[in-house]
Parts: sequence; C-alpha cells; structure tokens
Amino acid sequence: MIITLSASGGPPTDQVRDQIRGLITTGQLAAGERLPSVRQLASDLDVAPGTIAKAYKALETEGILETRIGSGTRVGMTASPTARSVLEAARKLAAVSHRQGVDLDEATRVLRAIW
Amino acid sequence: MGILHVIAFAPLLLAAGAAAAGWLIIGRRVAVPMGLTRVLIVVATSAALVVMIGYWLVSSAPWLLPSPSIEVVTAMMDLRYLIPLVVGGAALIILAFPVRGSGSRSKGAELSRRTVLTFSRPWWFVTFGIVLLLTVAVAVAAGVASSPDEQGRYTLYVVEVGTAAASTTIYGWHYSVPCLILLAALVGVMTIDLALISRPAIAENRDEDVAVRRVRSLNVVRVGMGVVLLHLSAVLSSLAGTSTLSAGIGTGAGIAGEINVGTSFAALTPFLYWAGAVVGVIGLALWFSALLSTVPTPNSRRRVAIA
Repeated sequence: MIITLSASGGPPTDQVRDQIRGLITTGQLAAGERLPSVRQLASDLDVAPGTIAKAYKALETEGILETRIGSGTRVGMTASPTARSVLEAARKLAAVSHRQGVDLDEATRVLRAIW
Repeated sequence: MGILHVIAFAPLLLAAGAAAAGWLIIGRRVAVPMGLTRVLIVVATSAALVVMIGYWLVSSAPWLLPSPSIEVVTAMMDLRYLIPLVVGGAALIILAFPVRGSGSRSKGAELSRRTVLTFSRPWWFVTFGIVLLLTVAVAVAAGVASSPDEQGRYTLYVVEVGTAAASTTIYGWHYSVPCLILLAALVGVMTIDLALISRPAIAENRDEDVAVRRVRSLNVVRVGMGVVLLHLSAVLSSLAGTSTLSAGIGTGAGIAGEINVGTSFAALTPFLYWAGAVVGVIGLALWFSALLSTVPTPNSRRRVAIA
C-alpha cells in the first residue's frame, strides 16, 4: 500500500488522511495493523512531521486509528472489515503468485477450488 | 611437513567449501547489483578474511613464517581473542555504507513500518543471541576460575594440592573484560548498521531495493555472527589447552608416592578442542558466505541490464 502526494490534491494533511481512510474502508489495511511512525512517513513523503501527526490525530478522533505509547499507531479494531490474519495470508498468496508467475485469474481459480 | 600443512589449511578449505556449497544451494537467488554497495562488501569481507586467515595460519602453523621467533609467536597468541573482534568490527563499520538519505526516492510512501528487523528474519537474531550468551557464559566461567598472577592480572588457573600448587594460563578476566566490552560494541555497531539499511524510503524499483537490503542485512548478521564464533573458537581452543594441565606432586616416598593432579575439567579436553575447531570453521564460513553474496548471478545480471 503506497500513498502519494500531489501538488493539486489539496493540503498534504488532508491527502494523507483521506488515503489512509480509503485503504482502511476498502479492506487493504486490516484491523490492528501497525502504521509507520510519524517520523518515518513524514521523511518518506518529504513533508514536516506535524503534517502527518495532524492526519493521524484526525483519524484517531474519527475512531479509525488508535495510538498507544510504546506500541505506535494501529488501525482501530473496529475500523476495518477485514481481519488482519486474512489480509496477511492474502498478501502472502499474492507475493508467492507473483514469484511463480501465476496471474490473478489463476490465483483466484486456485482459491475458489480449495474454498 | 605434509600432514602439518593439511592440519593448517584444512579448516580454511572446509570453511570455504561449506560457504560455496551454501551459495550454490540457496545463495544464488539474489546477488548485490553492481555498484558501490557491492564494492564495499567485497572490500570489507575480503580484507577481514585476509587478515583472519593470515593470522590463523601463522598462529596455528608458525613454521610457515620465514623466521619464527618465540617473541612473535607469544605476541600473536596474546592477540588471538581480540583479532576477530577488531577485524570483524572494522568490516561491520564498512558494511554500514553506503548510507542513503532518509528522504523519498520514490513517488510515494509505503504504509508499513521499517525497523531494524524489517529486512531480517527473527531466527537470525535468536541464533546470534544464543551464541552471544554462550560466549559470555564461557567468559564468566573462565573468569571466575582464574587467579591473579604476580602482576595482579587474572590470567592463571591454579590447582592446589595441600601446600603444593600447579598453574597454567587461562582466559581470565584480564583477557575477557576487554573482549566483553568489544562484544557489546559489536552489538551496537550491528544495530546501527541494520537501522541505517532499513531507514531510507523504499526506492521506486521496490523488489530489487528490498532484495538488496535483505542481502545487506543478512551480511551484517553473517559477519557479526562470524566475529562471535571466531572469538569463541579462540576461547574454547585456549580452554582446551588449559584443561590439559597435569602435574606430579611428590610425597617423599619416591615415584610410588607421586600424586598426579589435573584440572577439574580435564575430561572436557577433546570436546573443547573439537568444539573450538568446528565453531571456528563455521565462523569463517559465514565470512566467506558474505563475500560470495557479491558474486553476480544470472538474475542480478538481468536486472542490471534492464536498469
């Protein structure tokens, strides 16, 4: 999951907040999943740490993220419809399929067959 | 002389052979692409190997020297515990480079945390921790068993029988305390290396960037583990020598009245000797395997060609 900033996309804080919210509501970020630290994300996106901190704070206020001292910021347990273990298994399947040259249709067929 | 040469070179050949076999079986999947990273890995590991192998050969086979003197051999023996720590530590400092800036090199940022463990496997650190704990335990046990010499340095192992006593040298506090300090520094350097490797943003060519960081992290652990194992090898070999202390103490009744005394761990001599040799071979093999990670593979050539 990659988030990007564009010059025409509005304030960076809003862009970060909206993209993280979108990834959670579409099930790409699972409940309980850890997010990068404010410092790491700010450094990766070349923005001030305060920009990311504001975005995280807004999502915490909405109940989408939870921040605990010592364990960092995580997706709220009730915020995402997808269980973390399911999402991690799906990512593993995607990674192995990529390595083995199996396309999405074939991987889906295999999953359906063993369901 | 032939058999002596075999004894001197056998561990080196075994280590190189084990590393080559490991590389052929699992190590060829990913190689570090051409560039500064590969050059630095080659420089760090080959320099460490040259110094360590040179030291090992000269200390285990002093007849290889043009004119071996007792002073030179004694001085080299005094350095046997420190050499792997210093040489490997220097290699680890070089392996931290190149240090990329933490700014973004790609169009976006990944929403996953990057820590010192991100590009590593937990079992690497579990294994390293076990070996490190074992090394510290051996140092403490030998230190507790050591006694001060005339200069007050804890370098002697003394066996007392009544009013008589026999002694030999041991890996006592005089030797182990500097080594324990260097081992702590080694863990610090390894942590800094792994942090510097994991900290920068993922590059646009994600798969290659992650693969290279995995190899670099693995090399840091290989070299660090090799340092500890080579140091432990020197300690175990030294303790094997200490354990062979044997002295005859007369009781005044002729040969029949002579009492032979030895160390309390004399029965461990064969184990200590072979454990030292095996651990040393594994340590050297790990350094060789770090060097072999720079050998181009068909995959790495293709990636470079595409780039």
